[in-house]
This record gives sequence, C-alpha cells and structure tokens, in this order.
Amino acid sequence: MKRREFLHGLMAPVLASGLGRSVAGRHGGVAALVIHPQAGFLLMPMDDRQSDHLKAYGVTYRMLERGGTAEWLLNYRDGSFLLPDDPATRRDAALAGVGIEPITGADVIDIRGTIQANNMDAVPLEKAPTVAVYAPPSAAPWDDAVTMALQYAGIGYDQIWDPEVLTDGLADYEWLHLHHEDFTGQFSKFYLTYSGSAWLAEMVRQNARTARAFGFSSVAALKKRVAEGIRQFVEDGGFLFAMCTATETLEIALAAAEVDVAAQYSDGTPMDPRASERLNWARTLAFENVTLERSAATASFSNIDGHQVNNPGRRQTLGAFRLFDFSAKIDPVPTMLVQCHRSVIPDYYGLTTSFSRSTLKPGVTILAEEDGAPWVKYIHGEYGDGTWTFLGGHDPEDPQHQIGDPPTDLSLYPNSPGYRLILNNVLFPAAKKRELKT
Amino acid sequence: MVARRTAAALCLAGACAAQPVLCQSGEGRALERSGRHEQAATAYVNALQLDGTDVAAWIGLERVLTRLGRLETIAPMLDSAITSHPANSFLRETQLRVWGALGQDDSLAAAAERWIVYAPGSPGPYRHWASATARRGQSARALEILLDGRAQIDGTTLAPELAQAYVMVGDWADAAMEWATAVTLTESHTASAVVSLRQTPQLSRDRVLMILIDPGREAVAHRLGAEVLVAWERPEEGWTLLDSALPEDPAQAAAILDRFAARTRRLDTAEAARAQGYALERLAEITVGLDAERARLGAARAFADAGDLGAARRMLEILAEEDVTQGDAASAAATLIRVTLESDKVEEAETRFRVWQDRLRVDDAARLRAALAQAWIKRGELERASNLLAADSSIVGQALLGWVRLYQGDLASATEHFRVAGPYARSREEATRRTVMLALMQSIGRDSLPELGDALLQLEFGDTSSAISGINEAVAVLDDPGERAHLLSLAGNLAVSSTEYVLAEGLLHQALAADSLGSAAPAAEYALAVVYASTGRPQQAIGHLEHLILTYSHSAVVPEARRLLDQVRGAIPKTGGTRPE
Repeated sequence: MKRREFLHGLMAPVLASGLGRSVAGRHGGVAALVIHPQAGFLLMPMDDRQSDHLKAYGVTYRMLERGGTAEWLLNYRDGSFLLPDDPATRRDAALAGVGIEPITGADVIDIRGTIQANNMDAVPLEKAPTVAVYAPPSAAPWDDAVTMALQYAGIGYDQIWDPEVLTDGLADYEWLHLHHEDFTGQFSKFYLTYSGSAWLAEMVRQNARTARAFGFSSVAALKKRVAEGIRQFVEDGGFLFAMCTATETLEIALAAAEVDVAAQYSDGTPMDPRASERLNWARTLAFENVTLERSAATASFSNIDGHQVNNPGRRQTLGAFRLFDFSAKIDPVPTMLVQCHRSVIPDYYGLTTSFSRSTLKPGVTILAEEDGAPWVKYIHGEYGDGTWTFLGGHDPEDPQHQIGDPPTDLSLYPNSPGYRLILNNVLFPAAKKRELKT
Repeated sequence: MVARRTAAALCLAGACAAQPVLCQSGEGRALERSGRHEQAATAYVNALQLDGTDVAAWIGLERVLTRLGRLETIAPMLDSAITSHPANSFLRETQLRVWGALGQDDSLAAAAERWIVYAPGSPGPYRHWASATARRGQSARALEILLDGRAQIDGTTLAPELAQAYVMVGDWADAAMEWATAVTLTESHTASAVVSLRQTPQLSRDRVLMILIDPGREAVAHRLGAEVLVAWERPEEGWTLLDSALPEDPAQAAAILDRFAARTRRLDTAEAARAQGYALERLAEITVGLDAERARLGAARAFADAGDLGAARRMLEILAEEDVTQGDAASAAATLIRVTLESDKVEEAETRFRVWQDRLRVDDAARLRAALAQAWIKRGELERASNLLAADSSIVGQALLGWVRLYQGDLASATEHFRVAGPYARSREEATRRTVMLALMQSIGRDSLPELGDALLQLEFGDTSSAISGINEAVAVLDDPGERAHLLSLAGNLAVSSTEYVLAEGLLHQALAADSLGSAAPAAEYALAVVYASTGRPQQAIGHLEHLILTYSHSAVVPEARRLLDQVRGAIPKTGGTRPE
C-alpha cells in the first residue's frame, strides 16, 4: 500500500460507536475491528507489563500477513495493539513470549471510551507492508539495527542493493530501509583510516564491480544514481526509513547531482573546492544549507551530524533524547512513530548520530530531540506521495559501537525503547487513517 | 593596570582597617569554606596586614582570588611584602607561582632573576621558576632553566627536578641518570623515582635499566632498579637485583625488604607472590622474635599463593618448631593445613587439623573442615567425610553432609540436610546443584536408592560415562514411569553436556516415552531440542521447542526454550559481527 492509497483510506467515513449492538471502531467498518460485546479480543499491552515489546510487533505483523486486521491504540497503555482472538495469534504470542490479555467486546467498548476522552486514538492496521532493506549482498543481518530488529521480531524482508534499485526493483516494495551505506561513494570515508582491512577491500571491490557492470565511471557516480532512484521511490509514494550514515549521505548525494563531492581516492578527481556552495538542496528530503567536510581522512561528511563521533576536535558527548508528545487525534502519523514506553531514551553514537537543527528544512517534523542541544535525533516528513523518517545513530543498545564489536543480541533487550522506534516505522505503513494534519 | 591593582589592594586594605578584629587567617578559612570568597579575601588581606609573612593567609588569598578571577590583585601586595622581607623564600616562591598562573612570562623571569641575584647559589629560584614554567606547559623551557641552575651551582644539584623535566620531554635515559643521582644523594627520593620511571615506554625500558644497574653506580641506584622492575611487573627480576644490593645494616635492609614486599603484594600475580615470598623469607632471616615470625608467616602465605607449596611448607615447619605466639601459631597452622591439603596430602592435613582445630579461628576451622570433607568426598572416602562433618551444624557442613548422604544412596537424609542448608550455603552454582538434586529426590518416591548414589558419585569424580551407566542401573530398579523419566532425563542431559549426542538422543526419547506428560518431560524435550540443534536438524529442534513452549507454558525451561528457538530460527546472532558503524 503506497501512500496514495494510504491517504485514500484516511478519507473513509468515520462511524460513530454504539453500545449494545454491532459496534464499529471510530475508523469505521472499512478497517476497524467489528466489536460485539460478547466477542473475544486480545489486547497486547505495550506498557511495562509487556514481556517482549519487540516481538509484539512481529506478532501483529504476522497477523496482518495472514489477512487479519488489528488496531493500534495510540498512547493507550503506551501504544497497545488490539487483535481479534484467534488460535493462531494466541499460539504465535505464546511461542514469542509476548504478553497478551484476552478481553471481551465490552472491555473494548470501555477502552474506546478512554481513547475518546484522552490524547489517544485507535488506528486500524490492514495490510503487512512489503519490506526491503538496502544492503550489500554480503552484509549479515547483524550489521544493521533494523535487520536485527526485523530478524528478532520475525518480520520478513528482502535484501536489495544497487542492481535492484537501478532496474526499478523498488516498485515491488512499500517500505525501504537504509542504514550505514555511504551514498557519496567514499566508502564511509574509512578508505584511509582502515586501508588494508579485509572488509573494506571487499566493500570497495563489490561497489567498483557494480559500477563497472552498469557503465558508471566511478562508485560515486553509481551511488548518485542509486540515491536518485530512492528519491523517486519516495516521490512515488514509498515509505523510506533511514538510520546512521545513510540519512546524511543520501541527502548529500541528492544535492550533489551536478557537483563532485567525492575525494580523489574515490573517483580519481579531487572534491570540488566550492562544493558546499554549489550543492542544490531543492532536490533533498530533509536538509539544506549544509557545509561539507573537506578532509578525506576525517570520517565525517558534513555539519548535518551534530555529534561528529570520528572528529576528535568536534566530537560531542552523548546525552539523552526526548520523544515529542503529539496530539494523537490530529497528528496520528508522528504519534505512531513515537509510540514507546519511555519518553526519554539514552543517546547512542553512529557515523551520523544526530541532525543539526540549523540544517533542517522548515517543514521537517521533529520526533525526538535532546533538550537544549543544537541537534535533534529523530525526524520525519513528506515528499511527493511518500514519506521519509530519519533516525540518527547506529545501535540503540550499543551506544559506542565500534568496528568488530560483537552484534547486539536482542533477546537480552526485549524491552528496548530505542528498538521500538525502529519497529514503529515498520508497522506504520500498515495503518489506514484519516488525513494527516502534520 | 598598575593603578587598578593598587586600587584593589587599597580597597582590600581599607576593609581590613575597618574591621581589625577579623584580621585572622582562620577567619578567612571559615569564610572560604562557607563559599563567601569576597569576604574571605578581605579577611586574608587583614591577616596579612598584621603579619606580612603569614603563610596560611598568603595561600588562602591566592586560592580565593583565583576563584574570583582576580589573581592579579595579589601581585602588588607580594612586591611590597618581598621588599619588607627579601630573604623570605616562601614569598618569592609565591610570586613566581602567581606570575606563572597569570601567564606573565616576562614578569616571572624578572622576579626569578631578582631572587637569583639576592640568593646566588640557591637552587630555590631555579626550582620554582622551572615549576611555574612547566605548569604552563613549557616543558622544554623548564628544562633549560634547571640546566642553567645546575651550571650556576654544581653538578648534582636539582637532580629530582631535572629528572621530572626529562620525563616531561620524553628523555627517559637522562631522567634515569638524574634519578640515580637523586637517590644516591637522598634515598628518600626512591618512591618519587619509582612513580616517575614506572611510565617508561617499553622501548626505553632496557636503556633505563642499564643506567640504573650500571656497576659503577651505588647500590642504592640498583635498589631503585629493583623497585622499578616491580613497577614494570617484572617482580622476580626485581628480587634478583635487590638481593644483590641489600645494605649491610639489618635495620635498613629490613625496611627495604618490607617496602619491596608491599610493592609486590599489589601486583596480585603468582610471580609477584613468589618474589614477595623471597623478600619476606630474607626479612625473617635478618630479624628476630615477633618480626621474624610475622615475616615467615607472610612468606608462607605468599609462597602458597604462588603455588610453591614446598616453600610454603618449609616456612611453616620452621614456625611450628619455634616457640611462636599463640595467634600467629594458629594462623600459621591454618596456612600449613591448607598448603598440605593443596599438596594432596589429605591424611596428613586431617591429622594436623585435628591437633589444631580447637585453637584455630572459627572461620578458619570451618573453612578447613569443609575443604577436608570435600577432599575425602573427591576420593570416595564418604565415611571419613561424614566423621569430619558429624559435629558441624553450620549450613556449609549440612550442605556437604547432604552430598555425602546422597552419594551413600540415603535420599531421605540427603533431602533433610539440603533443606537445613538452605539456598545460601556455599556458592550460587553449588546452591543451584543442590536445588536440582532436591527436585530429583522429591520426584523419586523412595528413601533410599544406592544405585543413584553410586552414579552421582561417579559424576563427582568427573566420570560422566560411568555416571550415565549407573543412572541406567538405577532406572532398572524403578517401576514408576514418572520416576524412570526423571532419571532418564538426567542421564540424557549429562550425555548432552559431554556432547554424546547419539546416546543423549536415545536416553531422552526413552524419558519422553516413559512419561510424556509428567514433570520430567519439559527438561527432556528441551535437551532433545539441543541435541537436534547441535546436530544440524533445526526443523526437528523447532518442532520440539514449539511443542514444549505451548504444552508446558509454565515450565521453568520455557525462557531457555524461547532463546534456543530464536537462535535456531536465526532471529538472534550466534557469533560476533565485523562491519563498521
């Protein structure tokens, strides 16, 4: 379901609730669960009583995959899910160790009353989105927080890379995730500091082979074209979620369509000395007025990142970020994206950790920020018929992840609030809602 | 600037004149502690009006003015005080420190030069000038100042300061030479020298060592080398060097040995413990009476910690022959028994224990009794262990007695002793083992099962294969399917832990066939899933894990089963990743 259909669904008539007879959810008979007072339901609470928050998303997703419908009760017990009571869902929840509470239709009517009276809303979930993760074929799932979360929650995805993007393969998907790819074609600027490392040599070899196969003069040229394909995916109604370096470099690559921003080691020519001034920010999703990092030896791309983890002179310490409290009934999309059982979350580094406020475009919605800091952590916006969401940092449960560190075992963090933010993004394209006000 | 400083000084002086009764440095300290820095400054100035050489008042004033960001206002007061007391080195030192803190290099140099002219031949001006300069990060300039001072005075002056300056510029060889000179002149510099030279980079260490142990140098420099070697975590080399450089005077040698032993104690390695033992043994030889006893006892403990049980026993036997004091004798006896036991001489250790047990400290006696009982159990001498523990009502004793009874096949008595021992006796792992055995005994409705006791004793000996055979023999005498299932599940789990997967699979299938609905079934099914997961049959593992979770949803093994299910499905990683952020 692309965003066009998503918006169409928002226009569905809202049916009023009624008691003592067939009661429809406030989103009407089209999407919401039909409530009979004696019917059975499963409430999947997402507050501190939930034993495995992350797998709860998987149970809901698989229920949608089986053709069922559910409701996301925004801000009700920290973003609970309401599912019809069926043996398959009970079995799935039991196997996953996810806490469920069997309730009756009468209980659901009470819940609706609570939702009506508070800053809450009930959003129907209709269809499991088709998910693609952009990553090199050799990447293990443990390299990326999103694939780790998807694996752990049991949400299926396809791994795609440059060839699929260049051959219109994105059209098959509704949700696309990017993580630590460098769309400026400079191999995350590790080329000098990690020269000789086997993983870097493989990364260079793989990218160069693809560039040659598609007739590009350099990896930088290849990645600009791939970035353009991703931008088109969003414009056509796709849901884009990006973390870490992918956020920053995707934007730089889009702005640099006509400018050489890559160091000499990457494309054979030095970076345009006036590159920062010549970038065209009209084509980007989130940022503008950015100054590029000119040193090829510094693993930093621009002043978009507020923390500059690999820049000893400018590196900022980690704090904590606060999720913004949106109006659930007026701004359901941002509300979905910030559903969590914690409102303040400890920060974590990535090659791009945060986003400087001074580089944000005016229409960007800030989902989470560090109070008083000149940077924000989590942002969202619309572009064409689609939407994009950017989350800074690499791994919410490994704040200072280093190359070669062991991967995070999410079975040790089943209640991770940071990973919940990622999974909110996976599930929100499943929602069918009223018109967005944000 | 000068006018403003003078005005500030006058202002402070005016405050003093207005309240002469408060002009005490003690008052200033009290105000400073309460955070009233302005008032504290006034009080210190008032104190200095009464006595221009009041050290506490000068230090306090310097401190609070620094906090107030007005340190420059102290400068004219210092000028005035030095004019009145030109020989006061404290005032001159303070003046240099203040100019240094203010970053006024020209004023700092001029003040130092005036001091040098006033006190030619004194190292003080050079020492404090260099110190103020070094504090500003100008290490090379500080070194120049000190070298100039040495050239002006004599060839050995300012050695400790020069050593520190050479360290700051990374010249470790010259630093070592200066420290050797410094300790030769004053041995009390040794501690500072060790702290300084401990940071020597690996590449420079051989050079530094050669300088310190140069045969042309005094023994005191060699002793410094010994202590530096300990600081570099080479304690045995340090001892060898120290052994050949000890002074003749026993009192001086004893102090040096004591310090060396203390330094090695901090390292917490077997090599350091051995070096400590050697030093304390030598200390015992050159001292008499209580000092010698304590040194010998310390040596015995150090040798025991180093694993050199022969040397430890040698020390303790000397102590046992001597007429040592009661407390030390008991301590020595406890150590000797422990060392004897660790030498696997259980019989001899028990004999010594029975002689000393009434005089040992209570906790030493309890610990040794438990260790002896454990040693007898390990040898299969259950009666001897039982005799030792007979009068022991401690929870540790009860826990051990429970194991003895279990190995004797007396399940009723074992259950009772384990219950009395409770969950806190001995380590957490041991408490968990007892809980597992309690559950097993409860599931077998018999007071006695010698076949099981024999099998578990084999397990205690580390012979898993014989233990599994023994459990099978115990199964053969049981009729109840549930009881049989429990023992078969135990045998299957033992086979899994020793990676005997084929054997394990058979035993676990037998356990499930004996009783697929009883309380043994979840653990058996989990172990079977482990076998399948470990032998490349993930689908069968998943089937059993799902069945287990859904069928025995309240079983204690369900969390483990979920984790294994995640691993088999690939939902969580098994190995470390290698990619960048």
